[in-house]
Amino acid sequence: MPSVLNNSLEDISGAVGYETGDHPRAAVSGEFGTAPAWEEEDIVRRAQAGDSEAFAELYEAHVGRVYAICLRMLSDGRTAEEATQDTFVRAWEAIGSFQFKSAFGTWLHRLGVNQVLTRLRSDKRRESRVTVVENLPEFESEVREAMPETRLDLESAIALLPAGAKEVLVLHDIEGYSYWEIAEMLDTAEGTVKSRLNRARRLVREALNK
Amino acid sequence: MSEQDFSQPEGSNCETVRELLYGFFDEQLSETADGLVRRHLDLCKGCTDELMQIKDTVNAIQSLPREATPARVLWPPQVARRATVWKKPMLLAATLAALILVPGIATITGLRLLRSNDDEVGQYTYGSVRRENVIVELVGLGDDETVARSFTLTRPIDVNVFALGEGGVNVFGLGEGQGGDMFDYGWIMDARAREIVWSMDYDDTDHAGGAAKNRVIDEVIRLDSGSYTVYFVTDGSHSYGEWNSSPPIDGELWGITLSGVGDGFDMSAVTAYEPASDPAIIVQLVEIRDDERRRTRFTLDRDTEVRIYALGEGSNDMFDYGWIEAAGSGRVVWEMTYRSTDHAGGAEKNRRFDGTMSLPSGDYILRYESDGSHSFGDWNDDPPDDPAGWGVTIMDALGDAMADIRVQEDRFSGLALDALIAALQDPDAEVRRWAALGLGDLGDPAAVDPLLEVLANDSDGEVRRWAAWALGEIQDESAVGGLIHAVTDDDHHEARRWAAWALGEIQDEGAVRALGDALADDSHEVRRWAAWALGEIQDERAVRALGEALGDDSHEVRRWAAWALGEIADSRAVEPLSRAVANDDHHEVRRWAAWALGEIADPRAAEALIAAMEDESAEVRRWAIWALGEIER
Repeated sequence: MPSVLNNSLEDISGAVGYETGDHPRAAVSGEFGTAPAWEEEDIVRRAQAGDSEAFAELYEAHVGRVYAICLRMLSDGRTAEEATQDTFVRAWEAIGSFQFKSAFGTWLHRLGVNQVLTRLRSDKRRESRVTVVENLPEFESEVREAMPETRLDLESAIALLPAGAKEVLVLHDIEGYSYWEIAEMLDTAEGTVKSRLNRARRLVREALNK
Repeated sequence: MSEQDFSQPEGSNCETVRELLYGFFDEQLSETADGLVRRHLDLCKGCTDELMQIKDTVNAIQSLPREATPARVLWPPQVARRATVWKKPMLLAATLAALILVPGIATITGLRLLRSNDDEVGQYTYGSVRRENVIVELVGLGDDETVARSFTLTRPIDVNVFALGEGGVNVFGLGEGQGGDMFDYGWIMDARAREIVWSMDYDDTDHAGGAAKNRVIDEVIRLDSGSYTVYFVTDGSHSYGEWNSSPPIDGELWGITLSGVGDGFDMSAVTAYEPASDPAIIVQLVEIRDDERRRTRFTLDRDTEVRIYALGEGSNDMFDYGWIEAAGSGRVVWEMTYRSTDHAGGAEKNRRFDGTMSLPSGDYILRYESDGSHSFGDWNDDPPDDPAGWGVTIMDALGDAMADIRVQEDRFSGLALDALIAALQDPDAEVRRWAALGLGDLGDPAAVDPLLEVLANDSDGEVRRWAAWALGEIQDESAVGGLIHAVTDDDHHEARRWAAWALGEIQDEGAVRALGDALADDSHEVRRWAAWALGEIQDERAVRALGEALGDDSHEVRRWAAWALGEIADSRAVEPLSRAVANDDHHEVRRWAAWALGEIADPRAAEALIAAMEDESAEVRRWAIWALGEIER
């Protein structure tokens, strides 16, 4: 990735974190890049014109969010890395169609979710496994590296949730999507989303109480 | 929604209310139901406690971090190339036109240029440029650029270096057909030692198509574990998009690309490295430009051995240089003098100081001054080997050495291994636990015996647990005996559980009997992982014990047992699995029993599966249908 040296050092040190509200809702619907909205709009427009350095800035600002959701939903570091990379490939291909109707981060995030859901649907191997987590200790050590500040017991409990319940819990409670948004993504009824969420929360609580 | 009144705190009402609590928490209930739950909660402490627990759980989930740092750079390699094509749709045509003009080229197949004869000019033979396993890509570069990117290798690997730049034959060397200078070129520097390990020398380049000055190197080099910075610099003319002569093939790759070699290349060997955020750095003033006077304060809270690394311009006297003053007195404690420097690569006037000294604790001011020419970003002669270091960097010499050890894992793996093995004997259990963790991460079979020792004798159950985990990570068969002992006899259930897991990872058939016994363990977690491990090992001797485990109290154990039986796929399991698919009261167990029957595909299961097509759970019905399909085949 071409990155002019005199920019890259500041860029990288600047590309950390974002402020989130108390509820995840705030993070999804709000702006969560490092750049203020008007600056990010300019960066997005440059990327739309084919400027890969501008796209690199967007990558730096958003890769952490995308990776986090991939890691939680797929419960496997390697697959999550692939899905994250695919998300940015897809974003690069589709950025021309981005209409500024939402924040860029929201749009990109949704691409990431789609990427994950497509993977989950097409992963035939998964059908024959009891659990989605093939190697819990490995996943735990991946999570520990990627999110040192997280609660490992909680992450493991989420990782061990049955397929269906996990997606709903991550999308609603962590990523802040609404019932109807999730219902649309999963192509199911809102009622199903609600009942799966209740089940997921109950399972997590039981796992923590063990 | 039930319209009955369940507001009174009575047993059956509590059950109803608990069903509704999650919906109540999310404010999703109808007004009537919401009011009833509220009234019930006012009167019932049990349900209120339950609600508080739900609240705590959901709050905890909602406050999990929403950003994660991937272990490696996930930049999609497709992007740089796509970008350049978008920007310059004419490029392809221009390139092809240029090719036709180049003598000695017989065939053009797409972008593939085949070499036709042994021209006296080294002619590069093009294949399709590899785009997989990209570690660093600094391409599509225009005029007057200095670009860099750093990375760390955790083990030695073979790297393909593809570098495309501009170079010319020496005037004096013209007659001999060799010797020349590069104008747009790249190199690789050991980021900690700050020494060049590879560079694009004219004599090693081939003609890259188009103008003769287009030069390319495409070769495989071995890089040791360590941190590296890849540089590429361009001068003021002839570069990507600004060609003043015929462009090369693949002009959009003007610059340097490093990629891993071979289909089996493992990207996990590559991690991000950011020189400026190296923890060993105490303070730095770098990327100094013309006519700058920079200063910064720093404090040492103890006497410190520091490494000073400074780059500047000088010949007899220094023109761009740094120094350190004690903050109170202004006394100069170190200065970059010409005599203390050596050549920093590139033009002779590029000078480097690299040495260590002891500084007492106290406040200091680090200063750097530059004159009006030849500095970062505006070199009037060849830049130094480390352009981004132009300035001064002060590191903690000890921290620097420690960091060296961290990244030089392979070179020092013996050291780390010994230290971790020694730490297994530490009096503090927490230290021993982390030592076991570290040994699992290292994965060196040399740790097996010490870990087995810990697994057998450590007084702390958690330490034994992590020793079991580490043995599962190392996956060495010599650990099987010790793990069998642990899964059978350890009094800490977590240690037994992880021993079972480790045996499943190692997949040694010698563990089957012990794991079968573990299916009767007191802890359902142990039973569950024993079932999983037996499914991994896939030995039919486990069929009987797994069949019995289908009657376990814990539905989790039954579910895993069903799965394991499906993995083993032995027809003796048909009978217990048929019973499970028909009678188990947990739908997940029925589902996996159905799946397992499909894997076994024995016609005797058909009756139970047909009955399961009436199951109340859609999942069970779906898998029963699938399984029947498998039997049909």
